[in-house]
Amino acid sequence: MRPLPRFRNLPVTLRVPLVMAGLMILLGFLASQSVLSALGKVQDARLSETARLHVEGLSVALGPSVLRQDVWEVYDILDRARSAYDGQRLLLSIVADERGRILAATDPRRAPVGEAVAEFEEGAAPPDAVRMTGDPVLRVAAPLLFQGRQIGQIVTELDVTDLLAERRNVSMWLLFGNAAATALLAFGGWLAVARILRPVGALVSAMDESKGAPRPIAESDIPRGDPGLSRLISSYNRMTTAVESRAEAERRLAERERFVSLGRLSSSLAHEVNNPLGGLLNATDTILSYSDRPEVVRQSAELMQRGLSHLRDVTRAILDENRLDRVGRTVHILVRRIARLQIGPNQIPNQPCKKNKPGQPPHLPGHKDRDQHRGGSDHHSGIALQRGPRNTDRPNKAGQPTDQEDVGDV
Amino acid sequence: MDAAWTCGYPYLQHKTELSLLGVPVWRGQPLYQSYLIVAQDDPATALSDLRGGAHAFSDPDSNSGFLVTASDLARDGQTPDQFFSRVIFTYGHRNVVRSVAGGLTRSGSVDGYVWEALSSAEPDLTARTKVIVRSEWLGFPPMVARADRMDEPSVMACKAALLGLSATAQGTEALKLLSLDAIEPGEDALFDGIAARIAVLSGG
Repeated sequence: MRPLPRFRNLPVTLRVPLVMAGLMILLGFLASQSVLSALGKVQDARLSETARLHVEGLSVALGPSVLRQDVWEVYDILDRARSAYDGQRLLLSIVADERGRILAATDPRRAPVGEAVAEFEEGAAPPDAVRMTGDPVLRVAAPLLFQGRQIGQIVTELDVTDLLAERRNVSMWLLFGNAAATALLAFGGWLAVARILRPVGALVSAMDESKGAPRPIAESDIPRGDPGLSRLISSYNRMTTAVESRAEAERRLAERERFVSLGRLSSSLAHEVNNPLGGLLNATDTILSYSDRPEVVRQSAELMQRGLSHLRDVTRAILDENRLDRVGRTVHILVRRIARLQIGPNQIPNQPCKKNKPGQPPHLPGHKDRDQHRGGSDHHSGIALQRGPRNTDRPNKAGQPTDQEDVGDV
Repeated sequence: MDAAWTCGYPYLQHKTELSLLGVPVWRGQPLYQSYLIVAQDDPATALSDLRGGAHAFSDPDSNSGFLVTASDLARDGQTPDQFFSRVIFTYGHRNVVRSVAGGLTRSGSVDGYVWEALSSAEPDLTARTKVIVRSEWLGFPPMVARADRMDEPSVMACKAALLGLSATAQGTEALKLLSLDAIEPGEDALFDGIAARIAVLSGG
């Protein structure tokens, strides 16, 4: 498990306060260390001063008594000195003569008169060098000077429990104070960052909820006080406008294409209907003119039948395609299929038979010579007549017309 | 010095130069005792149990604070320096109690009247000690003046004032502070017991 990637997955509104909280903890730790270090120095100085004053005071008071080896006087002075300190700091004071034998102590049961003072000097420091070590009891040893001469030794045990408790209390207050301050500032940081990043959140929401159609952010939501964010959101809004314009252009283009296709369909339909219609009218005219000539009537009837069949094919093609697809695609396909129906005037003449000279047979539509004078689409249809119907619409094996339209042909 | 409140031992030592102004009455009689005290948790019950320990005397001129114990040892042919490992003089009965209570010495010789007064005034101090031996009743420390000045008005006035303390309210208040009942003229016979101990100590 790698914590860093997981951290990276957190929201930025959470990561920033967390980073800030971490820095606050680091700062609090360093500040606490600094405070504790300063406190330690103050306590050491106070302790050293207490020890120094105690030793110096005892030296002045004890000098004559130690010289006389007066046990009671030495004890009396030590006992009064202890009472003066109210037993708060001095746990034990021992005075030894110049041979290192105990003359008196504030607790004679611990330091009996006449015993060696050496064992009490273990771990003892001079008054100026005494420091807090974490031990609740510290020992101080100093020579007993009187009139410039060392006449004995003073060993003192100092009770520093209160100083340790003070240090512990300060540490706890620092710990809880820093924890509370860090939590408070981290929470405030989270609120501030969340507020600062709210426009970014709105931007992300606008992009997420757009579903491919980005929506612009309201002008009132743009943070004018933040030039960077303001520029970013303005750029985003311009981008959404460009996307909308493009979508609108595409929509109009598609609509225009539909209209063009519809126009082309209409034109094709008119063309395909008009061609056989002309032929049918010609055939009708011929029948009316040569109703007494069965051969001519029969040929004209056949022509009419072919024209009507093609009209039926056109209608069927429209109906079939309309069933398949009622959208714009039908238009494109229809245009192409109708164009492939290949209905031309050479199949259904669109001009009436001219009156022949007596003895000559009437000129029937579809004659090669008559097809030459027609122009435009007729000529095109005439060419298609010579080629015959295109295979693209021929039925498949099941008798159904194929629908393999090539859109690219349209 | 016109007058002094002294111990019976120095009074007898200077009997030829001193006369009694009065003798305090404590608990109904002009007598008191010498106490041999040890620490509260000390198992000793007699002077003989204290051999080899450190001992605190009040003063070498004190009856209750020195003479009684020294004479008891003298009866057995011993001296304090021989019997005890260390002897110290604290020059005060209260200091004897402090010495024993603080553990500086194992035992001490103290004025019974002072110890009882301290038990009321400083019960925490005396509570750390206990009395294992009480001497016989001996003459209470007297008020004295020079014998050759006893007829002087000032000395006579002082004597009259001392003897009349119990008759006045102020005097009664003063006596109450001292835990005394009164001051009576007293007789030299009150100090015969002390004289006997002096004789023992001096080998007489």
